[in-house]
Amino acid sequence: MAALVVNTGLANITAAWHAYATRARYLQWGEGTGQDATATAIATAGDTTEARVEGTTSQQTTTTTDDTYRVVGTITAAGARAITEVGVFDGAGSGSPPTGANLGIYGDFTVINLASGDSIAFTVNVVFDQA
Amino acid sequence: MAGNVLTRSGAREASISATVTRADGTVEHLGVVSYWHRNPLRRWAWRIGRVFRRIVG
Repeated sequence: MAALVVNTGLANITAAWHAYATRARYLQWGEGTGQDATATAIATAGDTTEARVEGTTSQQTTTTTDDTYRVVGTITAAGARAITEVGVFDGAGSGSPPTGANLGIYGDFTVINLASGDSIAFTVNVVFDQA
Repeated sequence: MAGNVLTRSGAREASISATVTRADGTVEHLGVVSYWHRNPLRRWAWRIGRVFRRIVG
């Protein structure tokens, strides 16, 4: 006997996330690392005064139709930056660096050094399956 | 460890890709910079691959 979410159900999950009014779609970068599943914000905003950027969300196909939730957005540096993390929030937040709203997706990575006017286009993919 | 990506869900995998555009217009495609998979062996394989790509790249 088995109970599972079939492939169409996976598409329902990403459709619901994509349609949700307060879905995670606001990108904020930072200069820290190491957040875990209990995190509510990026690790270190540091001198990253850039506002959160509202990303474009969509359903994508990785393995089965529409099994992937995607957020795409570009942040431009207002000064020299050493970017090592990005968070996806459900709101723009307030302040500079911005705070508030809820963190939904987080990733850290090897430093990307930027000068003023440089930008990073982030593509965030979350893939679901039956397991 | 840098390179991890987290999402509050029962997702199978998550990844973050990055493309840098310099102020002078130069574009640098960095590919996947952060990756997480439910299977720790897949996460380990991605990290090994990243190290290998740095060596040969």
